[in-house]
Amino acid sequence: MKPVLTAGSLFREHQHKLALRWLAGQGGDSRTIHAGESETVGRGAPWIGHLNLIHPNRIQVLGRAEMRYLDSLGKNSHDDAIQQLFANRPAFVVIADGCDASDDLLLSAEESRTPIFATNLPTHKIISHLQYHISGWLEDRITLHGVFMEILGMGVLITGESGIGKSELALELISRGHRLVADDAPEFYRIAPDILNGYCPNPLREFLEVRGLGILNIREMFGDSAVKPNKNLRLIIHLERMDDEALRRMDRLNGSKQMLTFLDVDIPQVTLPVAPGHNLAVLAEGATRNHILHQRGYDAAQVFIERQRLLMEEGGGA
Amino acid sequence: MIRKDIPVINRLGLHARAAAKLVTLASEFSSAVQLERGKKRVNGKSIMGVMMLAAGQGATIRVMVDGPDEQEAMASIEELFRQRFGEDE
Repeated sequence: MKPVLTAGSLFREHQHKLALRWLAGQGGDSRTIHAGESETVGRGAPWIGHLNLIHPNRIQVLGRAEMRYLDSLGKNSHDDAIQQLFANRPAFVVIADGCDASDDLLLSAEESRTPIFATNLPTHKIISHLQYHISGWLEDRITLHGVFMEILGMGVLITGESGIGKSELALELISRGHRLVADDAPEFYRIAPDILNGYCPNPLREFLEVRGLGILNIREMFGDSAVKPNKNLRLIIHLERMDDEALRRMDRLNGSKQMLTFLDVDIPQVTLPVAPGHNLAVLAEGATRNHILHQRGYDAAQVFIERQRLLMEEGGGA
Repeated sequence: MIRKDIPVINRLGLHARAAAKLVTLASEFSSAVQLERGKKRVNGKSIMGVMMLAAGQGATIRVMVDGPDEQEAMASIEELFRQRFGEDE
């Protein structure tokens, strides 16, 4: 499972990149970005943004404009605003644009144990940087069983029951110049409404397990270009053991194509029959090439059907 | 070996999907299946071949089946033609 994202962990991760200083509220180190069940801000609340007291962000960012606004308020309104800011229990507060934090702001932060970070960077930089990292972090993740590869530059997941030869196929594909992303347990999350990105969990990186050979380090064996840290998932190649009976029933025109849905993203799946005499690496490359053509809008089966229809209209060759 | 002339009665004729059905059916039998239209003779288990016949509505296909299950194969193939390849018209 993914570790919890806290104010402290976020600070340590982005401290140098965003030139953050921790001004006050050290006691809030373990405050989570993802609001807990009991909190009023639920899922769908904005994670980060300019100071907003009506729709409180989990991370409130104060820049020159917000500080000027707070300064312009009368004493009572000012105190109310500060009180409101911390009463909403933000994960932490960032004071950007190199502004100075007022004493009452620091005091309230200490009292409520809310971390306050300061930076000289402009607010929009802070917001876009953290937004990107947090939303990627908070997206739902899914682990799919299979070998995730880059074939001809396209992210392809090879699936099938255990022992059917996924790893052997992966090894052959790597020998042919394609790349390994992750063996056995690649993790996927959505980076855009219709794109799943898959990456290798750290402990598995570069490794491939092949029956009879044991654990192999692909980077050491084949070099840096044989592995890839992550890739967008575009196609699933499913291996299935088929007897003659099942083979005979396959769709001869379009092959066996179907759509699978993971995290609301549709991913096409091609089923390849595993049977004696089938060269799976060549089939996998063929399926990938054909899918690339499909993405470009060329469907060989359709063109073939159309050509035959024209032939029939001419009355055939008979 | 048995042979039979079977008319194509569905409106679209032996188009792609119908050809695919015929090929799939023929492949289920171990008998050799050959189709003939005019001077063209093709393997009934090859989709490329069957589509090359380009047989429209009204054409007649000579079906030749040879093998241990030739009777059932011929009966099934004839039935498929008669059922208009599962199409409405």
